[in-house]
Amino acid sequence: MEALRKAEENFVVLKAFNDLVLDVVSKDLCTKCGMCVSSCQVHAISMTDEGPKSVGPCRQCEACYYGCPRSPATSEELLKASLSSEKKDDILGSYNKIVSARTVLSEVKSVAQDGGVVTTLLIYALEEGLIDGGIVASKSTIEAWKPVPKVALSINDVLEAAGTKYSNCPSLVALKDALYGYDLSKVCVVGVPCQVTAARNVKVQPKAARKIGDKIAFIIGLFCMESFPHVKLAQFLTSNGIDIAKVSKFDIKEGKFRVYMGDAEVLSVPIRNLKDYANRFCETCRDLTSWYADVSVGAIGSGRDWSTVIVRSDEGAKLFDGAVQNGYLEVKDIESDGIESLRKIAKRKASKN
Amino acid sequence: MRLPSLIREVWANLLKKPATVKYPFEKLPLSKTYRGKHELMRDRCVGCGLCAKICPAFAITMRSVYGKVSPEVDLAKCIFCYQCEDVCPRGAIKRGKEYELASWSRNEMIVR
Amino acid sequence: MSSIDLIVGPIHPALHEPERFVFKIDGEIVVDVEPRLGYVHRGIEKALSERTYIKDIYLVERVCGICNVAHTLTAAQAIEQAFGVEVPRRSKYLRTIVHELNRLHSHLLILGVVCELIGFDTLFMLFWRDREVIMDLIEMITGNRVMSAYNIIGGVRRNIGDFEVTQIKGVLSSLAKRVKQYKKVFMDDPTIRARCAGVGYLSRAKALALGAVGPTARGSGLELDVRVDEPYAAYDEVKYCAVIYNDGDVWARLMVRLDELLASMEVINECLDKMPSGPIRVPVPEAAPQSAEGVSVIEAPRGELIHHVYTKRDDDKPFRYRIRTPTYANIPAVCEMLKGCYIADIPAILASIDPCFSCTDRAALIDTNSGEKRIIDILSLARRSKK
Ligand SMILES: Cc1cc2nc3c(=O)[nH]c(=O)nc-3n(C[C@H](O)[C@H](O)[C@H](O)COP(=O)(O)OP(=O)(O)OC[C@H]3O[C@@H](n4cnc5c(N)ncnc54)[C@H](O)[C@@H]3O)c2cc1C
Repeated sequence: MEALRKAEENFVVLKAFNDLVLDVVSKDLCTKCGMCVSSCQVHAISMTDEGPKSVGPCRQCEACYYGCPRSPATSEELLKASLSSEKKDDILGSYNKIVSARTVLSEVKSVAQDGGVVTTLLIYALEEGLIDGGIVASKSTIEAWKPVPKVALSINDVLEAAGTKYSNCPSLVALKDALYGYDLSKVCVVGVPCQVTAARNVKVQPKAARKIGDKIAFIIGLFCMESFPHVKLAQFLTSNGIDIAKVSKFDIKEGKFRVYMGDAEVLSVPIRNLKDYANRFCETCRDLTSWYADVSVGAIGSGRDWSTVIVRSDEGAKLFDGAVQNGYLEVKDIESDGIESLRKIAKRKASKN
Repeated sequence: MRLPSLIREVWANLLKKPATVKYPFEKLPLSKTYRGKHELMRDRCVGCGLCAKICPAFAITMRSVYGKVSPEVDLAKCIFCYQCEDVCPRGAIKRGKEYELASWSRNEMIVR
Repeated sequence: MSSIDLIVGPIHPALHEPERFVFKIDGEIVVDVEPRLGYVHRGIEKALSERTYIKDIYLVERVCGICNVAHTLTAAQAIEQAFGVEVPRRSKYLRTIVHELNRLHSHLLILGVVCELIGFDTLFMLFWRDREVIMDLIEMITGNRVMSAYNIIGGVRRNIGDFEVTQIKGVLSSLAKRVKQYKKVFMDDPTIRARCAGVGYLSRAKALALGAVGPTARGSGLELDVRVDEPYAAYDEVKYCAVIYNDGDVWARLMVRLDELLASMEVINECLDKMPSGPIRVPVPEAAPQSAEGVSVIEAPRGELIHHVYTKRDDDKPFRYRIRTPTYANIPAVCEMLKGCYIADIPAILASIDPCFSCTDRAALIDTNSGEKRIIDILSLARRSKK
């Protein structure tokens, strides 16, 4: 007890979970990525639909505060400096190369959103033993199209998680399951830009939970314009007379939000009509292409059934080139107007917000 | 009646290597998970003090040295449970393999 | 008939821990015995309610070093029950494996000690040699030979892989052969029969009346085994039959332990085969989510072990923690066994219940009139209750 008291006297003011609530959650900046939950080593935070909630005594280790992608303490210089890529670009982030790619695996083609690159990279890494598991967003078995965080340990798990869910998902909560529950030592994180920033944070920010960062082998980023809360998405569909449980696929292509049932397109509305339904926290985000990922994957810039792949780091190159060389993926050069349109849309996001 | 099994036992033990090792000169291999003396990685530590707060044996104190607060593990109190390693968010405490920790003075029992 | 008091302890070469026994003897024969407990009272129960739950796990581990896994397992289960936490299935299997390894090492230890006490030093050496390989297994899994620090609230701390599984199986299969050989020695070695058979007799009725637990009870023909009666951890999914001997003497109690060695090895092997994949622990916040109580009963190497915890909502410390250890329950039984035996048999009889005094000494009595606090032994407690 004496030692404890002495220890506490020595401290300067440390950031507690309450500071995170004050600086991020109450300002509507929280992206519900789930990094705070995973960062907390005394398991005092849990994730709800409204954001992180305290469920136990905070021991003020500051890990949640500095791991948060929206925390004022996040230093962009550190994040930028962490990527050793050749081309520095303000809008697309720094990168080594941009290509178009798609999977050759038929089981992936049938379930994937675009080129199936993300799913294939995960399968490759799992089969080669580069990772023990992947952090993905799987579909809830209770509510249709509600993404739930999941640790994918097998190829089946990865395939189950394929396809884009346009609701935000606290994927990084699954990092806790992976590292604390399953005791894995190498994981791959798949996420949208805010989650990618968080995952990069814990690798490079000195005060973030770097223990977690050590165990993240790869970060695969997705392109993301915005996401929609699951409740609102369901509302929007109901107002258009569509039952979300019957939907087979969502897609955003050519500026339109498209909804498919079976193979038939049942709804196609311009994306700006959905502005009111989008998440508030997306309004402050300027990052379209997951600047701090090892590999970023998205649809913009490549043709139908192809994905645009941005390789940003050496680890990313190792993963992506390995998958290509081992015949998991086929690649082609991206058309020059592909990069142009990607840059245009990225710029729009960066300047608008 | 019980003689043959006895002879077999004697024979087997005569030919066996000794079950013991000559300790200071020879050491038994340690398991991968062995919990020995702490290795503190000062460059990783940010001085949050979570280890000191969680330590079941109150063996860790936070001391500031040249303006940097970092933990000191008193091995005389430590129970080697490595809850501190489990709980350190920055991975600044590592399990060491050193187990010969006897010393003449208490000062030497402190890992900094 | 005049009798002489023979005082053994608190510090005595034949006792492994400080405890005082006053034997009333008539010639060579013990007529009566009065134990005096409390020399190693450490106030652990109070200390437990002064510390957070995480620290408590490590403190209960130190109630008794030999059966440390049993204590942490019980504490974790009790706290989990109070918290309303369900642990993953894989962790239940891992807990069972380490718990049984712990039992193996504890039983091998006491079998060796008894052999030494009856003057059979060779067998003592052999038992302790074999105990060493179990200690190595425990170190391989948990990171330390004795203090395993393995169970935590919400699961276990380390996983095992294929390498560990083959290692454990290899060691156990060679150990099983040796244990069978020792069993043969125990069955027909004249020294052991002479020193153990018929010594320290405890009838079934007496064992029941005095509330004996564990191998002491099973050696007197009582079918008491928590693993069978109230399966915990993975015992509801593995086959296990209680080992019962009806003779009621030192020999029977030792045979129960020997047979339990073999049974434990089977349990471990079955657990290794059946072990499901999955997470090994779930995160549990430090504070209790509700005011509740949790009770956990397990079969420790020495018998039934009970931990009882009261939690207070949003508090990170237990409101009250109560431990009931097996040796404490066996003290009345051992007093009964000692009556009528020879002085020379005292060590063997005492050791046959595998006494662990440090886990016994926790009973405290407070006189509400004077506020005086003192430790009271079980016999004067019994005497008081008769008044
Ligand atoms: C909310 C959101 C908005 C997006 N907006 C755009 C956009 O405007 N323009 C564009 O080009 N691309 C966008 N994408 C990316 C695109 O939909 C595809 O995910 C990407 O092209 C990868 O395709 P794939 O076939 O390789 O993916 P797949 O192989 O099908 O794998 C998809 C992976 O994404 C993960 N995932 C799915 N939903 C989520 C989620 N909500 N949160 C975290 N991870 C998830 C899954 O776990 C899966 O591993 C968006 C993705 C999301 C999640």
